[in-house]
Amino acid sequence: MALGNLLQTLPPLPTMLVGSYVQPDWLIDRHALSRRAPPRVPAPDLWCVPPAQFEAAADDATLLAIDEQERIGLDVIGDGEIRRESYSCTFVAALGGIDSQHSGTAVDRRGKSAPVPRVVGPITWTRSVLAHDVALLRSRTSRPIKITLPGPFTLSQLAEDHVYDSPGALAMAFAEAVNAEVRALHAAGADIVQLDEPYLEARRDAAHEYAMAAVTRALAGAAGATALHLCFGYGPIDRGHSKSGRYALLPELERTPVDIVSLEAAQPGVDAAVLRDLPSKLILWGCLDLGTTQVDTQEVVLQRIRAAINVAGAQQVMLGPDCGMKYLPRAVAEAKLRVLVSCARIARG
Amino acid sequence: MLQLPALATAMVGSYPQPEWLIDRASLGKRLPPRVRAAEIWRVPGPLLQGAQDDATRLAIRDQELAGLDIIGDGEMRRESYSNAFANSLGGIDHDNPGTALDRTGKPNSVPRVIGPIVRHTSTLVDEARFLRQCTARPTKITLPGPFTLAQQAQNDFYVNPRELALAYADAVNVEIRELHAAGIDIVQIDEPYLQARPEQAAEFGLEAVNRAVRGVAGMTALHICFGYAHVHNYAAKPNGYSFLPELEASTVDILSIEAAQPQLDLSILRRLPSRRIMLGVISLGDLNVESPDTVARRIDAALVHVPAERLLAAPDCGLKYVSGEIAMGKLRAMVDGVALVRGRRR
Repeated sequence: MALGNLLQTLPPLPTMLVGSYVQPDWLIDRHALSRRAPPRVPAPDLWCVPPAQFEAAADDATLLAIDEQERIGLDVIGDGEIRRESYSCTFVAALGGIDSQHSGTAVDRRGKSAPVPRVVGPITWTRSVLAHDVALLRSRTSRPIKITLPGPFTLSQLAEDHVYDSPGALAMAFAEAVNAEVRALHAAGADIVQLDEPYLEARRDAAHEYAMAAVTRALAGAAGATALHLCFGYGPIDRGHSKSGRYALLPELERTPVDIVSLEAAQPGVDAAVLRDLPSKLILWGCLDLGTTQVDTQEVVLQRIRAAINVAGAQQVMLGPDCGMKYLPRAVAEAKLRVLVSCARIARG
Repeated sequence: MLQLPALATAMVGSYPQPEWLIDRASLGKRLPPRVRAAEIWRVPGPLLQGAQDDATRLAIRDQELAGLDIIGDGEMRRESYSNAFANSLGGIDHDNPGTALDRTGKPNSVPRVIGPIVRHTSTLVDEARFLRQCTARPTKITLPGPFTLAQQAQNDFYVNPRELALAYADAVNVEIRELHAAGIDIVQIDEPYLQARPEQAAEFGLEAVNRAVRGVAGMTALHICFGYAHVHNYAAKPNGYSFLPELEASTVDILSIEAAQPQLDLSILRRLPSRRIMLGVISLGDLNVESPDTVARRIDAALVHVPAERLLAAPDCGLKYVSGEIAMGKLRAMVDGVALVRGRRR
């Protein structure tokens, strides 16, 4: 079993990113990026590099992120989502059925209208856009590697649909495409493939209705370890919005085939007792508060780690930041991760 | 002092800068800049240093991945190997540059010396510290040597070229000491014009070089060559130097000598019995990546004249004008070629 093999190569309490890392200033206009909601459709105006040079520049920036994670000492290495304007837009823009000329509109989790993909034909998957980053990872590091992509429920919430009978049907259509990508990414050598589903907590009623069927479909027949990330939004850009800290869907997630559940926990102060709802899952526990540029102290991070271990057991817990680190200053992101790595070593005893 | 293995590998100086950092086509069409050429950078001013840091990190990592024993910073932050340092010195008229003939015979804008050469703070020490933080392997940093600096300047102050070269030597001497103090293992002065201007080199080249390294505690190197293959349009090169055995009397520890492209008659190395030789075993005149066997044969040919303990392996010259892919391929070939020779010697 792929998960078992993976766990054997990892130390207890392995450390990793959730998804995004800090993109270099010479690649993307970070100031402009931080002043808007995460782009749901590609936003080429954000990039600093002209299209002819973009792929090589994005490759170099990704290699830098990979090298930095290794230097910091993370056990599982991700691509840092360096070549993406947002966690979701790159994948969805490559799908068939999406209008590449005109975007639609939808209301995001903050209640604001934003451009979103416009579904004008049946959703189809033709080729992987993320396998390239898996190949970069595989060639650059010998550590286990993780790649992320948007989950089907979140995709269905951030689209303007002109084709399907219901949002549930749209979610299932996205699930087919996500499933094809998941398989391609494992085949390309990814050790963990993670679905990002932040809207499970933003749209709970809809999630109760049709999210789990979509998630299950998206993960069907996965040949390697799978993960699912949920959270209450990006710390630095959702600072003004209170985070409830209460997860509503964990018992339902327990019944899906996902191996690892990644949970934001530090910033909203989630009680580790919620892990009792996920007895069969590995937990990627959010130990770094990304809502502040203050570097988390060792004392506080150790408390967070031990709280998770006390409920779920040391064998079941993995350690990461709360969410993507895209919006943090570079030095802050590095410093926070270094605290995480040193606390993991202490907690291993 | 640094302990080096036999046949230690290193770059000479530059590594290819990425296209997102610098306009490579524009750089490749002109003579190496001797005055500042800020227009060739693609990244705007406030973000440039961060971008250069990132490019340097990648260059350092590439050298480590290729398996080099000695790591440089790849001169990622430079428009040319010489212009940043040259233009950081006092005594230069920055508003009215001069003109001098390049070794290709073409005129090039150069620093105009209107007063005493004075060393102000340069950026090299910060760059050296950055390199030290990025790698645990032995390090090497390059700067232009005094003879070449004097050839790439318009002298409107000193009585004669020798005085100018000696003034440059004093500035270079301070810089070398500071670079060693910053933790760099080998400081290399680049002196390609010792080969380009042999009459003047015979007059005061050795004196200028020795003055630049006098009293220096750490390890030093000197690079000499026939010029960038690309800049010279891949023209054939002579198989002998006009100025080289004279450097046996120098006090630099390592002589870095272009040899592969010109197919240098290696018997000249017998006239340098007390120097270490960093031999060019990778040609930049041929963009095909050498096989490790070819590299091994070049090393074997040198071993006839120089014992392995005094021999290091490097490309012929800087890799600035070569593509990233070719540069990495050639560095790997070099390391693999050295491994073949080391394997046979056991």
